[in-house]
Amino acid sequence: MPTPPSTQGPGTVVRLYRFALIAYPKSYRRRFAPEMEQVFREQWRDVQSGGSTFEVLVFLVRTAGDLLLSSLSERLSTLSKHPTMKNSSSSLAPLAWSLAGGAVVAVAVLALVTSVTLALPKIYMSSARVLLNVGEGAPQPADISAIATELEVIQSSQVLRQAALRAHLAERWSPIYLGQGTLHPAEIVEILRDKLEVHQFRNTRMAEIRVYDRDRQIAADVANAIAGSYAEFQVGSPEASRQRGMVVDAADLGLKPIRPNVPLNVFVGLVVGCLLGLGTAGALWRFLRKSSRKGQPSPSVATSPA
Amino acid sequence: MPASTVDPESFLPLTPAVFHVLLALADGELHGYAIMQSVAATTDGKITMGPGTLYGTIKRLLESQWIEECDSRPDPSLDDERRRYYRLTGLGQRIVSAECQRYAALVRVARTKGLLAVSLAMA
Repeated sequence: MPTPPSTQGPGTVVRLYRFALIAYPKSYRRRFAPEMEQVFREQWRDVQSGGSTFEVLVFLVRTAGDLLLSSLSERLSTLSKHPTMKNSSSSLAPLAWSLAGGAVVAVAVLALVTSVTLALPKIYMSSARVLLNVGEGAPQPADISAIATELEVIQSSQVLRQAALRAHLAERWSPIYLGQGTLHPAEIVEILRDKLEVHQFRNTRMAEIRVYDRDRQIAADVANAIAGSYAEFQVGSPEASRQRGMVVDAADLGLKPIRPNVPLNVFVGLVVGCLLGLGTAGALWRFLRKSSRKGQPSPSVATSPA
Repeated sequence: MPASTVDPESFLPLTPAVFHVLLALADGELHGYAIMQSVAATTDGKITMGPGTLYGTIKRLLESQWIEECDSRPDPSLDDERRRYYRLTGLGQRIVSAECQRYAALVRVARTKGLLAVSLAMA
């Protein structure tokens, strides 16, 4: 199924890249950061204009890896030139190197996770609630199997096809998923099932119909269309379903995207970055201490760039 | 030591990043993004450099005086002022020429061994 291109603007990602350049030493940043940002902006513009979501993600991952390795290399290079670091007998040298390496890894992981999160498409959710046709007049709790049956009816092809007609999904989704041509009703039902969640609402005779989509208007329209189609399927006509009040709550527009969860992802990126940074710092510290015990000098920059 | 007396072959072989940046600049003055595009075009997209790799390489090449920054721009009115242009120095020119000659010698060896003909036939 073709994936629609991301609608994320370049501003946020470029600003994030500018922030991530803090991983480089100050002298390096002062000289090259404006140029690097300019180059990244041009690359990002090209990838955005012609690339699929997958290509955008590959580009961001590759750029984050490039930033991680090159900033680590520059940090080590700068440290090796520092007067206090040239003295291999200094006990602070391995520690400073290790902390710098760990910090670079932590910042790079955080930048990578945040970049990917911001590049992901925003998904909105709308939900409608319908009264299930399980003998609501009876005083005892509804039969579990009867409720499960009604939940399956809501997700049946017959109800979903009717909902697709009501919400004009062929007209709205064909340009997104096909570009040209019209989606077959079976394809629309298949797409719809991917975007749909139906479950019993708490311990009641109601079902909650949740629809997820990049377009919040479509999400709300589709949830309402499914609720209406189910009600009509059970009682025969729109008028009868309205009289019986089967659609208890109509779906409203989702105000905020529910995915990606930016604060959660950034927090996870921070935690994972810190853990990997600590691991890197520990490994570097052990390596450098072992090197200094053997009387080896600290790594230094070669005189030839090759 | 004056650059003119340095033996370019003492710096060989070059790393792929250094070689491709020098090769791109053999066309003339280029800015960073143009260097990246040139490298991608020369290698059919097999080598893509990120900004970090590119400017790390440029920094070391500047320090070694194999390349230098240009004072003027090809067309300042049409260009972004943040862009800086780079070009080969005489030493850089001699080093990239020496590396190309080294590759050419390797190609001759490969041809005499029939390796190049085989790979061309397979392609």
